[in-house]
Amino acid sequence: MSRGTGSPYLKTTYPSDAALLGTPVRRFWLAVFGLAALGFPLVGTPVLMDLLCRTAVAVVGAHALNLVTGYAGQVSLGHAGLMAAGAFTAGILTEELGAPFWLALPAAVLVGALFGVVVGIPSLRLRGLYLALSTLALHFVILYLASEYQSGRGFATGLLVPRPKVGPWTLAGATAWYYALGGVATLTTLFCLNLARTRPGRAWMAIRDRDVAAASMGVNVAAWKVLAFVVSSALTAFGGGLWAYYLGFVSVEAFSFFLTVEYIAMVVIGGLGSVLGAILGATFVTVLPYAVDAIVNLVPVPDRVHTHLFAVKFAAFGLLMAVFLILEPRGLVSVWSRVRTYFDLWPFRYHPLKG
Amino acid sequence: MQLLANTLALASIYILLAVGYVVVYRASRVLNLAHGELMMLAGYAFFGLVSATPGHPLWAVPAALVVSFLAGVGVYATLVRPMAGHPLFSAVLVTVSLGILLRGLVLLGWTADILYPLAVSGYKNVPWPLPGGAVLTTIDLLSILMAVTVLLALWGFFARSRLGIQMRAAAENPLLAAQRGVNIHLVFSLSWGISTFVAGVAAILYASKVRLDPEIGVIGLRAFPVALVGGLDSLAGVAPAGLAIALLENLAIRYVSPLLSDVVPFLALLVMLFVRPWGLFGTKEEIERV
Amino acid sequence: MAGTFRVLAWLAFMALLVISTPALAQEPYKVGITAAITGPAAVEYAARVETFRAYMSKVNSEGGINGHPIQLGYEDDRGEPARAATNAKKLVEQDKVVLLVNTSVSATYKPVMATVTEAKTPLLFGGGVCPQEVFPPANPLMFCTTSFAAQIDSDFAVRFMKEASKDKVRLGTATMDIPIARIGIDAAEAVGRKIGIEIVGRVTMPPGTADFTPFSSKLKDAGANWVFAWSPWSFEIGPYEALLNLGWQGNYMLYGHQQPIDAAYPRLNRENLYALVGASILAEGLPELKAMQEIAAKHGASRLDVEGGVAAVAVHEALKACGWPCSREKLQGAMSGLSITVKGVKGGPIQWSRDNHFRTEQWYKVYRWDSARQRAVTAKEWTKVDVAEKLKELREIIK
Repeated sequence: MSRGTGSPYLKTTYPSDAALLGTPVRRFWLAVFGLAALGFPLVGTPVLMDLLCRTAVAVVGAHALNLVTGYAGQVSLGHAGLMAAGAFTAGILTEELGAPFWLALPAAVLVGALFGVVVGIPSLRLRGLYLALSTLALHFVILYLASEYQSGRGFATGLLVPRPKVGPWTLAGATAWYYALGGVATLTTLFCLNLARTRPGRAWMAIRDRDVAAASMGVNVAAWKVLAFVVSSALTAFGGGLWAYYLGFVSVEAFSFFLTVEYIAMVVIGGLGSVLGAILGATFVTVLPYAVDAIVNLVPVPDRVHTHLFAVKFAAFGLLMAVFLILEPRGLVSVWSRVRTYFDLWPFRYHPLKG
Repeated sequence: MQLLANTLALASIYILLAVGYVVVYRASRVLNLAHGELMMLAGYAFFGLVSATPGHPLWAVPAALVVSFLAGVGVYATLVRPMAGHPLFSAVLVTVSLGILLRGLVLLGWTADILYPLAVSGYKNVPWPLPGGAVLTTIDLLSILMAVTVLLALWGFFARSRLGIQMRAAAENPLLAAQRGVNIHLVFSLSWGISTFVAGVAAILYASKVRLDPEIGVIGLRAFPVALVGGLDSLAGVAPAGLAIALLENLAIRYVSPLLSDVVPFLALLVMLFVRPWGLFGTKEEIERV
Repeated sequence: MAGTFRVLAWLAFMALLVISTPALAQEPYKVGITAAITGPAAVEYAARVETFRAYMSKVNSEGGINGHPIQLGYEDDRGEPARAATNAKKLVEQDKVVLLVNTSVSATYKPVMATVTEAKTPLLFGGGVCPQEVFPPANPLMFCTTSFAAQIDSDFAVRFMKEASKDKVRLGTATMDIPIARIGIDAAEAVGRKIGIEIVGRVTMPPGTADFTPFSSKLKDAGANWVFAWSPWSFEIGPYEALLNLGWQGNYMLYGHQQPIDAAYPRLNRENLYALVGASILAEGLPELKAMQEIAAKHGASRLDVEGGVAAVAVHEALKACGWPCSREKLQGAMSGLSITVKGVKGGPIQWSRDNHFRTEQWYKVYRWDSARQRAVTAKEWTKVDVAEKLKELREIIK
């Protein structure tokens, strides 16, 4: 049986079509990428390491949003609220009960799953924008509760979350965090890839494309919709918990609606309904402002107007986003697939088998 | 009585802003999340013009409105038109990016300091006692007047004028309208212009009454539930929805908890979603489209 | 041809000379600042950073400190905690600053604290509200020069109202819904009740508030004859102007952030607006502030913000006391016993001790506007508050 060829026309079995590492070329490049990622701390500056750690946290959150919005087609505007729920669960358990991270993080996941049921049920009746707004209501409720807790307990500037500890060993330092978060992001990616290429992913995509058609093919629309919200919310809360541990604190002011917009930007810029897109989008949105900063900093300006540069950077970020979206409204993944197709077909411009 | 007066004043600003969402949505089916920032831009244009022409503050009003109108047309031509046919999410995100860009530009031009155009103009916002012991200021009365005028003018425009009827046709079915000789792009850019023009009216009134800074754009988001409760594609729904939400907000502040005031519009929206998801006067099948 | 070559060689030599001049100069003191220069909070903080920067370039133009210039690395955090964390890591771990300054919203404090604690770098809060960590018992690394502090400001304000009014004070309070402001207003109400003030109403306004009138009319109808506000500026002045528009005649007290209150006094021209301050304002016409304004203007700051100036003076003094070479540890030690005097601007010195990095004594002054003379006048002269004692007392009252 011929395995290990890239063209879909030569795949003869479902397993070979669903295989994650179908071709030697893919295996090779993934290994190269993996080695580069493992070796990065040898050359990375503290800022780059920090950016990559933040990207890893963002990747988890972007995957979560992509599951429910990209695959299941249900718009959620409660993302920042759900992250806050996870972060606050971890923070409060640590603060009030001194819970270790291996208890606090699963608890955050559980709370997230519960909120997932809460938003999942309206999704049975509401659709599109209207569903989005009911998830926005959840955002306000969660932030209200968190704010009451924070003011009530007198934590004016937020709660400190100590570094995670296992026995005598504490997770501290840029390199340790880099490997830990990188590992978590990789596992989350695998989890999402597996969800997407198996029964849940296919059911979600069927619902996204047309719920009536999905139901007539035997997909239990209600159950799968709620499940999409539960899985996504649990994963989001997990991301929130990671956020709290990595940044070492939680505070309501950190989870404004703008955070939700950032995550939506990640999945849209990456490309909706693609695991790779979520990763690319998370990287793009996290790193772009700093890339803009670095470029603007290359322009020599006198010291006295230096503070005005920040307004330029701010505006440039908005301009770049707008220009990118106008040129590539289907996201980074479409750029990627165009490039890949180009090389797949080379030296032809069109697929020779297409007739 | 004061409660009713406050409701009218707040509702008039909400109405002026919600009209913009509705007009743009009808034309290009895009939720313009930069509406608040476009309003802010008009406020700064007003401030700039007032400062530039000392002694003639009244000239600054129409001039700022023209600038605001042109800004709307410009946004349509450069940002919205290229997004036609692309995923709606991307189009909405483009407006978010525009909002960020505008904030950056305003910071660059005017710094983040709070400005008071009315103080520069030399006019004063004076309180007027009304029957029943309530008080409203000059600007409040002007806002109410403007809200009524704008609604009536738009109603007349859409119901009577040739261009208005073309706009309604284009909103209903762009393809058919285009085939019947309606210049779609002219009509759509006009819609954006009208939207920002009315936002400009709101901006001038708000900046004169409260303040002008790069953050006033957030009140654009507060008018958003008004547009939805009224029905995103319905101009008729804007006035009752604006009044209802302003009233609920005032009641919540007065009798329940001031903290609830920013949640109340969304609660009203939620109730509306369960009862009549398409809004007070919206079209039923619209919910399928968004 | 040869002539051209010689000219080019000369040019290259000159260019080399120009480039290498800074390297020939003394090694600098590295100071980092993370601030809300853009974003929603820029209204409050942008002017502070500009004044801070202007003062630093003045110090450098006069030859620096102990012959060494100050190299200021500044980063914009937009008031976002995650950005502030990255900025702190960049400045502390990559640029190796000896001192980090935070001039931003309280939400950015905790992540910055986490970074400086790991790297044992002194952290100065200059312009944002003073956090719990600088009050006794203070965190050894954290210091604060900002003139306002939620709880003791409220305590002083409430006591002033009682003292200044002949009738019984019926107090209404207005605050923005952020934790630090709510804690301040809680203190105001607790102290008020204790000293026999009637608390008639309280409005907590969500951050997205568009119209202040409904909140203000609630306070007016509750029968408040005094209103106290302690919040970011827009949420202090907004309810006041709405009260004026409603025809309210009572007295209003707020914390007077220098830059905006200076703009507000002549614009409003009302006599019932009292400003509690920990630093003087320009409207009083003091020569020391005029001088500070001139320095700021000369070094490219379009406007003066006193808090930024005070923070800059503190950094200057701290580095002077640290001497050369200045390590983080040495600087922390030097700052722990430092006394900073900003003549004319503050009522007394900012004196730090081993366990008090706020200041051992806090000085307050109250202004009001004199519309006949068109300038701010003193309603209560500089008054000293012993911080340790006051905190003990407040703990009793609030409990």
